[in-house]
This record gives sequence, C-alpha cells and structure tokens, in this order.
Amino acid sequence: MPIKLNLDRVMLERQISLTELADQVGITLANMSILKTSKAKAIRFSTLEALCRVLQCQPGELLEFVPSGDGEG
Amino acid sequence: MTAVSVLPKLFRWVFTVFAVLAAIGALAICVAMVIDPKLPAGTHFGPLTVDMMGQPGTVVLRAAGGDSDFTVTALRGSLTLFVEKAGGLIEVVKHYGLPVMLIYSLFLVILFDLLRRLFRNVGRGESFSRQSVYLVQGLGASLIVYSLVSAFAESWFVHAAYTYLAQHAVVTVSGTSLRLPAPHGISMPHGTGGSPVFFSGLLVLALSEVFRQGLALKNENDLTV
Repeated sequence: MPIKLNLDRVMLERQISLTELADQVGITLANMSILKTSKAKAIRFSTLEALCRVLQCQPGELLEFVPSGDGEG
Repeated sequence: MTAVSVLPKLFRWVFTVFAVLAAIGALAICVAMVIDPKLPAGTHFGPLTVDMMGQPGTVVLRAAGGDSDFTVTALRGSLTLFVEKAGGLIEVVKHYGLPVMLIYSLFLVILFDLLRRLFRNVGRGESFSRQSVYLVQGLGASLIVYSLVSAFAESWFVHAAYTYLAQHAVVTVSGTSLRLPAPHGISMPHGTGGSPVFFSGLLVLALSEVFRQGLALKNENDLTV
C-alpha cells in the first residue's frame, strides 16, 4: 500500500497511548491497532477527522504517499 | 454485529435431528446387512385387498415348496404379476437394495451435518467466513458426487432385480401370460432422481462463489476503519 499512516510518529510527538487515542477518537482498540500497523485498506473521513481533532494535526501529517517503486508512483 | 433471527437456530436443530435420524437409519441398514435375515420357508400372508390405481387389487404370498410365491392382482383380476420363489427376490433386494439405501443414508448424514454446521455459522452471524464458504462448496460437491454415485447404484440394483424378475416373474394381461424379456440389450429403466440433484449441486457450487465474494467484501469492510 503506497499510502502510509504516520500514526506512530504523531502519537509519540503528542505523548498519547493507543488506548487513550482509541477512547478519545471513539473507535475500538482493535481497529486502532489495524490503523497503527498499516493493515487498514481504507479510512473513513469521520475517523480521519476524529484523529486530526484529537491529535491536533492536519491529515497531511498523518498520511504519506510512499512510491512503491513498481511504476505506480 | 447485527441481531440474528431465530430461524438459523431452528434450522440448525432441525438438521441436527435429521442427521441423527439418518445416522440411525444407516446403522440399522448396516445391522440388517450383517444379520442377513432370510424369509422362513413356507412364509405366507394374504390375500390382502389393496387399492391399485383406484381399482381393487390383491396381494398374496403363498407357501410353495421350500419357498413362497408372490402374486399381485390389479384392475379387477385383468392384470396379474406372479413371482415364483419370492424369497430369492427378497435376497436380491437385500444384497443389492440395502447397499444403495446405505449410500443414500450416508449421503443424508453428510448433507444434514454440512447444513447443521452452515446454520450454526449463520446463527453466530458468521455467514461470510472462510468455513462457511468451504461448507457451501462441500454441499455442492457432495450433491454432485451423490447424483453420479446414486445413478450408478440405482442402475445396478434395477438391473439385478429385473434379471431376477425376467427369470421368475410372469405377467398375465387379460388371460395372456407374458414373460419379461431378458435384460441383455434392452434399455434398463433407471432412477430419475439423479439429474435434479446434479443440477442442484451445480447451483450450490455457483452459490459458493457468491459466498466467496461476500467474504472478500466482508474482509475489506473489516479493514475499513
């Protein structure tokens, strides 16, 4: 997946744990873990909005496009 | 998880009962095959009056020599089927019919068990799981295999029974006695139950592809946060 979610880095900067973030965003810890480990295939705007609100950041800080090197990028 | 209706639970129990009944039936057939009961010499009953296509008829088993003769009369006596040495016919039914019935029973055990497991998954709200896909594929494949095996087994039984009847049965129509032609070179009647089961199997296999695509959609949905 060429889209990478930099949740780890932003969480570290904000000093927030995964459980805390899941609670404040309003999604389950299991789903938050799927996001953190980049297993998610898609992210809802509502989830992204909640993440940005809780982490006080822009979507661009969370999402990063990484060319996969097979001509897609 | 959405609420699941009571219907899958009901079906699960119904198919459990059916699977147990089919297993008991298969066991009873196995016992009968092992015991191999014989018609006692000189067994007789009747005449019993029965309804044959709306007309009165009779069924008689008469002691004859060391065996019994079987006579069925229909259409007010104008049509008679006489089978000498009826004990031999029962032996044919035992040696060829019981294995066919055993195949049917075992198939029903497998079919009802697969359905029971499928509805257990549906009851748990796991309709689109890898196991459900395998169960539906198993149902389709077992229906197809059953249709092929049963067609062969039925033909085998009908051929054996017809061969015996051709040697020992006399059909009398309005006073004219006829013997059945020898089985060589004639088209044997066979069971008609195979084809619908075969096409049902194909349909269920096609349905399993729907389940497989449903599973792919569910997996994608599960990974959308």
